[in-house]
Amino acid sequence: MAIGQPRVERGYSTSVSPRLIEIYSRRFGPEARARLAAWKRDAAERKRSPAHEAALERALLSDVNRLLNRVQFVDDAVHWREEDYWATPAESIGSHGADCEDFSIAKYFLLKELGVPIARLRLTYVKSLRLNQAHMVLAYYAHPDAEPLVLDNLEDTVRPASQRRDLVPVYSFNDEEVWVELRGRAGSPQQLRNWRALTERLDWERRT
Amino acid sequence: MTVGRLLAAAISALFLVALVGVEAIHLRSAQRHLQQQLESLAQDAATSLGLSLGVLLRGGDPALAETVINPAFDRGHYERIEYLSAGGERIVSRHLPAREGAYPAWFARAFRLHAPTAESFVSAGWQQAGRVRVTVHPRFAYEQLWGTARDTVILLVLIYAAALLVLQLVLRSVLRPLMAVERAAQAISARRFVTLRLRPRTRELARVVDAMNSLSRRVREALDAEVRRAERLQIAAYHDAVTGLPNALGFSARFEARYEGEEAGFGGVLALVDLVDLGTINRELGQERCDELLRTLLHEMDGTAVQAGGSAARWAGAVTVLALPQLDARAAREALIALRARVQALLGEAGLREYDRVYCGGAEAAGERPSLQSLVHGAQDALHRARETAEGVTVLEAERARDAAPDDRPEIVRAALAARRLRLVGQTAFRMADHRPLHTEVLARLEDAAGQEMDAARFMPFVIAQGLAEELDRAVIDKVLRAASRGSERISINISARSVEVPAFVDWLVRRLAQNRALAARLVFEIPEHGVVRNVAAATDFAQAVARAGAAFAIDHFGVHRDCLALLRRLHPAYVKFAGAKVLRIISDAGAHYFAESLVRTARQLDIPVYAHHVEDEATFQAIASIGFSGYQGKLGGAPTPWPVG
Repeated sequence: MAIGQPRVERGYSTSVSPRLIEIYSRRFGPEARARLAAWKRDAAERKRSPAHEAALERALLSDVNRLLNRVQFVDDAVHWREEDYWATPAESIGSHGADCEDFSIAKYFLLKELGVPIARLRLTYVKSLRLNQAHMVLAYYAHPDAEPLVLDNLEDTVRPASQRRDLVPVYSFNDEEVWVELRGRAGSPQQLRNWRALTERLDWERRT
Repeated sequence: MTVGRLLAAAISALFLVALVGVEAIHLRSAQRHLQQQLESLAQDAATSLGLSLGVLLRGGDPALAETVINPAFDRGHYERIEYLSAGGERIVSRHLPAREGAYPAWFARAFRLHAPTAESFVSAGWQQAGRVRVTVHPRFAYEQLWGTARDTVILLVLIYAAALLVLQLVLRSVLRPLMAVERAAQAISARRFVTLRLRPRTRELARVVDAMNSLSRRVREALDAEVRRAERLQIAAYHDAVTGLPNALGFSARFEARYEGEEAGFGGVLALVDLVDLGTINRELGQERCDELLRTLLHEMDGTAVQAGGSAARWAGAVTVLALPQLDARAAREALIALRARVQALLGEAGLREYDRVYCGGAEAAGERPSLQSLVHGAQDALHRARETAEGVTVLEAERARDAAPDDRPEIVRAALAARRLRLVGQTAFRMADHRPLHTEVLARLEDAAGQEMDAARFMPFVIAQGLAEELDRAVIDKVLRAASRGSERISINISARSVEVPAFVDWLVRRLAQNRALAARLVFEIPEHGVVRNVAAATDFAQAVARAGAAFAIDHFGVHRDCLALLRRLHPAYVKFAGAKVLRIISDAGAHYFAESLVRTARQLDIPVYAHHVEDEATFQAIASIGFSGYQGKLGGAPTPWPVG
């Protein structure tokens, strides 16, 4: 897909340039260099073993979930001094801190980069009954009618939605619908203000 | 195109471009803003519908889905709202047909707003329940954009109008000095040397004004110097250095101008007075006292001539010439005897009783138009005879025409004029360089009851004496205006100096000229110099009136009077006809040539061409050609012929 091509690279680990690593190591401390390099390396290794089959994908999901859950949970207000800041994967990895949206976003982009069709992925607003607060997870649908698998930063295990009674799903999206909207037009505002700010930063990272 | 217009056009065009640009930018930005609004609206509707449907739809009930969609759709902002199943089948589809909005179609084409579509997933719990797709109708946005466009255009047009008004005022105040400068430039090129009094605030214009004034002053000074030089030369050429009276040349020129033109010929007596012993007196008294005595004596003689309507001039050495136009032979004789007695008495008072031989010889004018030469010859004869007589005075009577009683003639002229028995003849003036016609001078002839033609020299004295000049002028002008309406030649008409002094006549002429400005532009009105000198103010008024009416003004028989050159500056005639051409040929006097040259040069600097009158032969033509005249008129070019031709 011609229009999708540059978009695909946005947010990918392979699109992280040495220059961006340099900038983030200055911003987040010298460890950021090693973290970003490791993330890039991991993604590259996984890319060599394609995982399009559902069975393989399931293993990949757990892998990616565990891998990214290693990043520390830090509240946005503390980490970014903003109430609600959607960080790019590189920012989350580089700063070694993320909240639920940042985890979901990082997982979403990494899975996308590893070849999972985005029609199967949905960033989902949920309410966590356990925490009694708004939360976000990444849902994986093997096909449209399937029961989704939930990638949650609170749980290293990827489990089907039926086993996650503690979560009430409310609304879901991915950037596929944005393509529909944007057909024939570029640079249009997107549905969510936070998503728009995120894509702007992703574009900046891609250029850097 | 004037500078003012050009500036106004350029500035208003630029301003217009700027305003159009502002309007375009404004509309483009409004368009972009509205487009974003439309897209937000689409996405908001899709998101909220997606949420609502997700909460309400557990069993995939199409009726319920439609019920959820309807309230949103009925707001009228949406062109289409669709609900698609997870498999992509259309479950609910509401579509609003396109309707005409309150805006013109061309506007919608010029500022196209794209109808955005947005989508949102619908999820029933974890279960995918399809997607909702919303397309917004751009009609309201178009209406809003159109309203904005209309309002801003009206506002900008008002601003534009106000700006143009201000621009006009500013330009007018800035360019007012420029207009004054332009007028001054025109005045200078018309040889009116004005001084600009205004001080423009803009530096460039101030400099232009300064330069203009300095140029004007310099040219004026140069011209003044030239005029003074020409005046000196005229005095030197035409006047006797000792007495200040005209010399033979001056007298001849004056005589030619006065009596050899179209107006009255010379009637009366021309006399010569010979102070036989002047040479001896000079030796006795010495140069200085002799000159003083001579001044007294000639002043006395001039007084006698002036009394008789004429003038005196120092003819040669001891001989004085007196023109006595109002005297017949008998009266002249008496006047000369009295003059001789007074002169002798003056000589006696000066202790010169033994040197008081004074002889006077006079010749009465014979014929209609006696030449100066023939009169002088007659007077010289009379002077010879006077030496033989006791009283020392002889006046030769002219032989009277026996058949015509002179007293009839005034009546004949009056009757001819009253009956408009008027014929016109024309004589063409030619350019010196290529003999091309300059203009045709139209002259009047009257016919007596028998159809016999009288020429001007015969009837003009009576016309003038009886105050009929104005009537004759009106009759001639009437006839010329009627006859000249066809044709394209330039025509000159002689106007009597007396008519010019009558305001009613001038008003009448201006009104007649106003009726046909194209014809007026072809007309030149000539006044003889002696007429102009007699009443300069009236002549000036006449010249200005004629110029306003579109016609031109010229001076005939020019160059005789002492202050004739001042007339050039004052009246700025279209041309002058020089009086002394014949003189230039007859008397090859260097002074007269210098004067004529200087006059031609001065006139040329004022852009006034000088033509010569009475150019009757090749010798005269050569003489005036060497001096630099611009044109000539006379028998050489052709005698007067009936006018208009055909």
